[in-house]
Amino acid sequence: MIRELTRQEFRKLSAQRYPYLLLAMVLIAQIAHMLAAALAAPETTLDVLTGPQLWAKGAGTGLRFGVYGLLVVGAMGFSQEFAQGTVKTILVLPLRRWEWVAAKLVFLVLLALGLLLAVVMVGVLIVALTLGWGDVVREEVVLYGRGEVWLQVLAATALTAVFLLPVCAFAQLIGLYFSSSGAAVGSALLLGISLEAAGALGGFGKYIFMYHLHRPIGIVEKLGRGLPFRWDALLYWGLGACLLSFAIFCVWQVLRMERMDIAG
Amino acid sequence: MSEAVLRVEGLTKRYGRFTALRDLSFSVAKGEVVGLLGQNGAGKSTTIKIICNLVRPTAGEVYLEGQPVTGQRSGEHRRKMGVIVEAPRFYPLLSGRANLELLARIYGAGDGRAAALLEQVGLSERQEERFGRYSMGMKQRLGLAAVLLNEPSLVVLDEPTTGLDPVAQLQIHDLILKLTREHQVSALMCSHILSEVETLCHRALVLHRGELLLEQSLREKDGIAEVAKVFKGIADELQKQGDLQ
Repeated sequence: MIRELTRQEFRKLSAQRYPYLLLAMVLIAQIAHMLAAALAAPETTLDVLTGPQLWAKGAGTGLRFGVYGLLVVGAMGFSQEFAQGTVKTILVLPLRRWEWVAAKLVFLVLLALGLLLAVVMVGVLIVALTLGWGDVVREEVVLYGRGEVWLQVLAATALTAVFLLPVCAFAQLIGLYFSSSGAAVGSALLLGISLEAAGALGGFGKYIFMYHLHRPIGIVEKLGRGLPFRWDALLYWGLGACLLSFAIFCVWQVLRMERMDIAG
Repeated sequence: MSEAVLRVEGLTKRYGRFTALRDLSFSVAKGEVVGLLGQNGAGKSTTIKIICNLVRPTAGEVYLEGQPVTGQRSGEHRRKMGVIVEAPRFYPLLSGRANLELLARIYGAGDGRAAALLEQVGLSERQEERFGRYSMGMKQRLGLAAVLLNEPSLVVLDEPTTGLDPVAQLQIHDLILKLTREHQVSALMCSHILSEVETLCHRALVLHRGELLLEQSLREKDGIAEVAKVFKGIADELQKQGDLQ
């Protein structure tokens, strides 16, 4: 049942125009940032970009826009069903409510992974076309070989995928509290931005998933610059916070859906 | 018509201090069509939503073919029901056919079933059009096709002809009669139109402020006149209250 419902989510999304527009905006922002950075004349030798650095910059930008795109799509998941009244068509079918929640979440996570893959691949392509994917060299000394760079790119991509899980669950949960898509999307974006800002100001950002979103990209950036980096405890805290918040958001939305009266 | 397909016992629903339904009990026998009537806010839609598990009752129980269904999470009992709540709601950007196939797959019915039903309700020529572009009559017909997907033993229809022109109303009446007479399907139907209830229903239940005010067989002579009399009484009572205020 979950597989069928997930397939239907893709079918419904593909009939709409806005997801294509969002994807185009994400990729255009990423490509523009990367091209501007690659073509800019460096003022000092320290400003000279390496391929991995350029990739990290582009992926960071693409991902930042991508997260907001996911918040939009996720928040619309249930709020659009409430607004259109289709919730009353679906919930009178022989399915369990949690199955519908799970299917929408699986769909959103798959969408997030697809988006991440697109951002990563576009980044790889732009670097290949501009600075190239050679060894990381400073003043004729090879800091990192090509193989190690690829390993870090892979690690950054995989870790970012984990960080996207709570983003998806959070966005979908917000949609369960609104019967207007616009209000849900606005609230999800506002809450996302507020969480990020509050985390930075209050010093508890390291426990908020938004803070960790760019961490793997940062790792690649550090490595690209030849700065020392250890896979420190904060990263494990970040992963823990992501998985815990993902679990909380999942349970929360299942309980919300199971207890909800579809009265309006 | 003795075997009850649907049995509702002591249904009560409160929203805070407001009581939407108070100790409502009735049943629908096999092959019987029962009309649920009442003013706006009388409790008709709440009753239907509780029967479909969209809303949980404060008290009471709903039995479908003898099995209690209130609060059942599996949703398996819904295979025996076909429901339109309030109005047929489908995805506006998908075609009529795509919408119906989407539901058919959840029921485990093949796409062939959807195509056959589209033909049956006279939508096969417009099946590729987006649902959002359908007229009200076409939407209702697609709704009826959706109700029939799983070959239910009970259909629940919420004002199936609201907003339709007279021709479309007659077409929907024909479809409902065909469904209930040929397939021996039981039906619970909300309506505001007395002539429609007289044409389609065996029995009428009149709700007023969440309570069952009248249960009237429409097979008896002047059955619908009795129903009309009750509504006249309600209107007079409201008029008096208005005058007093």
